[in-house]
Amino acid sequence: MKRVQFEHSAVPYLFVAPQILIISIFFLWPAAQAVYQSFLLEDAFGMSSQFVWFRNFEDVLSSSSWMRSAIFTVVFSVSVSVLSIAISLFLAVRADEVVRGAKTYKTLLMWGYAIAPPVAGLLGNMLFNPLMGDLYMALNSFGFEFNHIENPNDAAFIVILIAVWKQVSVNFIFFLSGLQGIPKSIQEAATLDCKSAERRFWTITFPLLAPTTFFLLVINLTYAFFETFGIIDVSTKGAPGGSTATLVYKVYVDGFLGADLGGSSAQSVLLMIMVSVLTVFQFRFIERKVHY
Amino acid sequence: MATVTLNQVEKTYLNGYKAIHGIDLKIQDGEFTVLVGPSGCGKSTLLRMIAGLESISDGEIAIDDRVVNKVAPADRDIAMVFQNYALYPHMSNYNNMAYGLRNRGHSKAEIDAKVREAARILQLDDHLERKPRQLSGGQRQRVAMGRAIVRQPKVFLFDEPLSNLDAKLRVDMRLEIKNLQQRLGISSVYVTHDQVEAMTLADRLIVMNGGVAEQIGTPIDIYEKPETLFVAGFIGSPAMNFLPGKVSDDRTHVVVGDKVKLDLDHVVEAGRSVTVGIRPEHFRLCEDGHGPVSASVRMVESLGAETLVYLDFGIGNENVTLRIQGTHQFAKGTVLTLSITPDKIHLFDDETGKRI
Repeated sequence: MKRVQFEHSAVPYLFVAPQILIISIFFLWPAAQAVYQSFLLEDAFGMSSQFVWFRNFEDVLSSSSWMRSAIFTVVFSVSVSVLSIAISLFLAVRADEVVRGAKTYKTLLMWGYAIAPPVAGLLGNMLFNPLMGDLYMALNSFGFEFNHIENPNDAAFIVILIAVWKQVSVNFIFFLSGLQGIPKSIQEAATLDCKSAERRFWTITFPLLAPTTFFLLVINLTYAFFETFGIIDVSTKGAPGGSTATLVYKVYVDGFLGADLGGSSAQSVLLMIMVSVLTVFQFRFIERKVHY
Repeated sequence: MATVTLNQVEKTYLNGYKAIHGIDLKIQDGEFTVLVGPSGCGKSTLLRMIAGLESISDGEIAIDDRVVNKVAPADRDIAMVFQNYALYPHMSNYNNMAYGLRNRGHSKAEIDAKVREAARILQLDDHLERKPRQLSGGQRQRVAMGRAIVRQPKVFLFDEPLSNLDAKLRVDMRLEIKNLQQRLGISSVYVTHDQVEAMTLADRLIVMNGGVAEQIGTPIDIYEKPETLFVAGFIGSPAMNFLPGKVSDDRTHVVVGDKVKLDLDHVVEAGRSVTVGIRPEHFRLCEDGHGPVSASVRMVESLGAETLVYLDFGIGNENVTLRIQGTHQFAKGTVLTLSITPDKIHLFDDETGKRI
């Protein structure tokens, strides 16, 4: 099919120029720098550097601490995404059914959205403080022997808990609007066709929410990968022993605290590749199945 | 095959608004009942109460002899067709029809037989594997009908099923629905605001207004003997003409305006103020110029088979509509002489709006 073409002039390019400039300066250039840096080995004081080809990548991939961080990142991201999607879906479905005081209920559930990740991390930090944390005390008084300072699983539990809590309100908003987008008459037709509310949910409501769920899955995985940095930095700082450091957090620790710019850049390049692959995979294989 | 009985049914919403003010009704086995009325009259609410989509504030609804007030919609053995079809967009048309049967535990073979039979009746054979969005409006409405008939319910409920269709398709689907209902013999309740649909489909018509059933009867009864001013104005198109009048002292005439005197066929209290209702099609044109009414032409609308003439009766600014067969041309201002047979004159009490 031939499309209508109009005379070109330079003006449109002028209009998009600022946007291109911003993207170039703040995204493309740093990304190129990271790729370039990942091939360099720098001395501790930053006085000299040497081009080492893929040595940084070899070092990273063969390091057990990176592997451990990668595994933790996968476990963390999947747990955060699945849990926050499941919890917010449940809350949205229930909130959608509320008749009296629905607005208050919904507003309260959305409030968490306004909290910045570091603040959420700080809240978690205080709640699990061994000296004064209420949740810490509560868990231990139930006999859990909870100790996130020493036990990696307990520490992972805390970061996952905070990250999920922070994300639930975002997902809740999307699910609620998704639910409200389902025509009421379809729900009503379903009540006439199917007595069991649970079955109705899985055969009608959930499939109709599938596009929303897919979108949230992409958003949540990205969130768990990148935006949980603030939460981790304020709550566990990757402790104990780097067991709660996600790949992004490790890039920061190795690069800015450990001054290994080359290794850190190599890690971020790997991260970039992983996320691209993941995104392509999601769109190629999952998206096709969720749209009706 | 069932009767539906409504006994003093009322609906009050949470905010205190009373939508239905006590309705009594018995729908006979196999009867096609149409609820008609202006928007906001409570007709859809009443239908949704029978379906179980709205709670019943007071009174009782029974299907056959079972009171269904507290019965879940899926257990009432009813099927409903919605205005916007309400098909499940993620399912094929086949699955749309099969869904209700599957949830009721029918065997696969049985479901397949029923769906294919319904598809054959509704001429949807070629579209079963497609999804609703790939169909036209009329076809979607057929799928919605199919979803209702595969279940062979006791009662069909229709909530303005044709109002999303274009005019021609609406007429076709109207006939199809009537045909199907007669063939299957399933008691049906049909809600519409379109009085042509109401008149053509109904075995029994219920005219609703403000949450009250103003009149219940066969379409022809309602057309010929509207019990209230509202019903008289609502049923019939173009609408009935209303003129202020006064019964003469000898009680055999009603006087409209200053000079028009119309014969009555029944005796009414002398001097009483009434509203006189005359349907546009009940005027007779007196070609010889001798008749009780003369009025001048304001406007003419030719529809081909019939002509609508808007007349100035000299009473206020209101047009009086006259409907005559065939094509006629009248210049503006032409004075026409008309007569009406007394049994076609409707009188309504000025205060209560009730028929006299």
